Amino acid sequence: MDDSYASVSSTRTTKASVSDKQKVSDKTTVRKLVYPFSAIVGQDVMREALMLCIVDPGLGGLLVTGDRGTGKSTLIRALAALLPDMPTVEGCLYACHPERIADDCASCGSKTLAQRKKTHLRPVPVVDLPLGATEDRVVGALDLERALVHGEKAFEPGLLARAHRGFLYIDEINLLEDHLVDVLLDAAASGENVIERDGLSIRHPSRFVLVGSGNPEEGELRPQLLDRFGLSVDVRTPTEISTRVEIIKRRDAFDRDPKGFVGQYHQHEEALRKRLLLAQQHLAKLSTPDSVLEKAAELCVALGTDGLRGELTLMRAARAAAALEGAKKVTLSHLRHWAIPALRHRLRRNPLEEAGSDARLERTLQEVIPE
Amino acid sequence: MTTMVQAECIATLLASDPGRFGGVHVRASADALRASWLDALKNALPSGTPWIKIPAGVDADTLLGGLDLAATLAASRPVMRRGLMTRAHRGVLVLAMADRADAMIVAFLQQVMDQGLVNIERDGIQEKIPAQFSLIVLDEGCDEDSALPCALLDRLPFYLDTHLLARWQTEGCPAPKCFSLEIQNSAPDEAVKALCASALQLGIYSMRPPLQALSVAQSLAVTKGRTQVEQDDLIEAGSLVFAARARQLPPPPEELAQEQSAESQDNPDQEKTPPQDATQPQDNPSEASPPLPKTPPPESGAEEREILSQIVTSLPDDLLARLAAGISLKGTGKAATAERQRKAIPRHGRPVGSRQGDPRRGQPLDLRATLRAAIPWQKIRSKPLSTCIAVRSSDLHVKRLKPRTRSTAVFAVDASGSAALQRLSEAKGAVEALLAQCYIRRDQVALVSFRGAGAEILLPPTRSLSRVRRALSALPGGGGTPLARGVQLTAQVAQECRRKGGAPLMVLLTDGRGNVALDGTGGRAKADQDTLAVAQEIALQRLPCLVVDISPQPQERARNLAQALRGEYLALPLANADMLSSVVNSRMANTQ
Repeated sequence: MDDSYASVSSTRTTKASVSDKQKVSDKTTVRKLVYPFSAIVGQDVMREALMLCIVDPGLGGLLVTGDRGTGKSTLIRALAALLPDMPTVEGCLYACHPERIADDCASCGSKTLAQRKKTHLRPVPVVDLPLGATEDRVVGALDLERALVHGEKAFEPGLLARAHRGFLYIDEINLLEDHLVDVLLDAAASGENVIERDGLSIRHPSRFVLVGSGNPEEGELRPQLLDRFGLSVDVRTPTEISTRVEIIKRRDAFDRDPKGFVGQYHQHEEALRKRLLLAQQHLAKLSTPDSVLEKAAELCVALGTDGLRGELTLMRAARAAAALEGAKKVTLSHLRHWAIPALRHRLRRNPLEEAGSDARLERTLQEVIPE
Repeated sequence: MTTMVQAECIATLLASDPGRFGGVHVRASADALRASWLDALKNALPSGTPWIKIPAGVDADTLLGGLDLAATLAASRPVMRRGLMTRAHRGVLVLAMADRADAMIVAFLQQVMDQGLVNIERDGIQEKIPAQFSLIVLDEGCDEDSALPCALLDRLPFYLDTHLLARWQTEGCPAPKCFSLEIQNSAPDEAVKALCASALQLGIYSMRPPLQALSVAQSLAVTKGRTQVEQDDLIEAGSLVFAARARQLPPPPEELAQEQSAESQDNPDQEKTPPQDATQPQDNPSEASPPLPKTPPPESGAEEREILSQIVTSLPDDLLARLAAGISLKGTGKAATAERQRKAIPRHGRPVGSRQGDPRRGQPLDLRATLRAAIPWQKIRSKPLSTCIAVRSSDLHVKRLKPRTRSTAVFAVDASGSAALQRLSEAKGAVEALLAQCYIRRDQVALVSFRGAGAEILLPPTRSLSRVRRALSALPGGGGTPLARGVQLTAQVAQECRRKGGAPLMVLLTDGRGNVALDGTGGRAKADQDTLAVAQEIALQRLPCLVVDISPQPQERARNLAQALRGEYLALPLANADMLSSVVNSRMANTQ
């Protein structure tokens, strides 16, 4: 059973000094072999939504809700292995992009121009925020070991620093403690993280794609947090026998021989990664006809969504979907396809509405953009 | 090897590889029999296997692990305290009195069971430590509706109750054995298909049970000295894993054949199936939400049907009876919902841990946590000679409090002509009697009445005895029965209470004979239709609800209303105020 841990046996991560260049990347290499993304059966909407978030990280992330045992967290944890590497400034604690160094990066601020130009490829981080995490580990705090052993003040970056330019995943997000939600909302809104502790004053960039999953029956999400998510997808268990059989067979194969199974899907993963990279490059070249923009606005007005975020997200999602398809321009069908995931969590809820907001959305969608 | 009884079989599998199977839900009182089964399992485990009990009221630090302050100071470097879950790796973790477990603790367990490791990000410690264990969830089972979280049970393949333990006893308490469960071959496709199909036919939608059943079947084959899964392994695994989760009975074989031949005619029927049909347990909408497959899989072979029917035969009799009656078995996991409805920072209540924060904002200082935060940093803080411990503002911790949720009984009184005036005075008496008790318990009461063409809020939630008395005595009677409007308004008041963090209970005193529709027009048919529609909408919000039938002869219509609201029905033909108030009182206690 132990072969499912690639390198977990030596999990005690080295507590190195702040200046140690390897520090951030060291910690991300400790991970369990995960079920490959391309081996997941069904759940098309969830899978595509996650791919859109990779194509356009500005989309605002993804919230997955739904039944138990649908593979929500399996899919999201599979993301890490799929992501292409990203260029970073060598030795930057906060993984700055060499061409776009953040103004507030304390790590790059102390570097010479020549040092800033040295590029280092790092895997895009997918950081797991576990339930029970304490605030100091999320925002970062003084390095305890250095304080105890050497009596020095040194900053130890937290999860928000590690997630910069990558993904922050929160399973059971509806059970996350309120004060951690506050911290997240703050960082997500400002794109930076500010720490004041023991005379230490640090700010660093923290822009991440927020991915959450949970079961709303176990507690509602705060509306402010809900609104932060670009897309929201509700998953149901598949009821097709053949689909279910395939899921079980693959899962069983993975559980018995993780290495072999991951190897089998290596090519699929490579192909998918290429497709995502192409889509990322293609995104900038896409044209968006005015007629599509107008329809998106019309739809949001008809639904009475609060604020502009819904409309913006809908357009971004449609563009990312078009890029993923390799289409030349965004069409109404992209819009129609992503309207529900982009808007369903932004509707004012009518407490007496029977079927939830999806039914109303579907109706309005049919009126504004008939098929 | 002879067939094992289920309790023995479960213990054998758990003992053979505690890290592989998620665990077992034991629903039995804490008696000698349960203890002897646990002992038998303990003895069968290879020596040195961890067996760890989660103490009542456990905190996150103990369960997950964290900074060991004493050891840290002694060693002058961060030392981690191992959590219970990592210590239970490849062993057994016991959660007693699971129905009382904190929602957060349950969530920790779930997350760790999913990943097979504990991901610690606490107090300057960052670790990933493997934790694969069998969780034994002990549940006394005294309360029929004990709200054990479904999401946790979904991760436990096995289930044991008093009957299964008793059968184990009559067999002479056979001791479980310990096998080396080396699974070499993948199961044949037909086996996987048979398990998937059986699970669906029994109304089990989660993907975990069939996966667990497959692993159990493969392991059973190994215990019998085979390398390949055979039919009886599948049957045994199916009855072990599916029995306790079955939500419906599959159609008998002859019906199955008919359905297949008359497929096209069958579909419209299925759409119209009323919600109280046996296939849809009403009090558990989440469980029944995925649509049933319209027809059984057409390719289901004879062997598959055989396996399914064998699994069904192995279900205990009482379960069969309950399934046939359409009663769902387990708690709905609603416990956590009520927990999470607080919004503003509470100033009163019981402490549930602490967080970094400034006590000047009105939250009480947590001295222990504050000192704990300050101590490790002493070395880097220059302190005046007179101070032992230098505490900085960033060390300050405040207690997090969980407020006591305030219960509110929202009474809706049918003051129409049909609810005779005499009944109305009884209802008034009951409300007054209740109020006296609510006053003592600091609960609230709200009052809605409906008569004539509409409904009105006589009294928003209050604790004032005199105001309620006044409102009640001024309550006129007579006129039509705008039941739909009354129910709607009551739900609005209850909803409002919930938004403010309270725990509402709706109490509808009516005879259910609505005759005024929502739009104010008369007519029984339209009024009934509106009432049921409104009730079904309200049912989705899961507001606890009690319908008290106050007509001299209990009415079918009031019962239907209660059913549509997914509430409780209570006929009080000879009601007196005391009886009503005692019933409402007990329900109020439940809403907390």
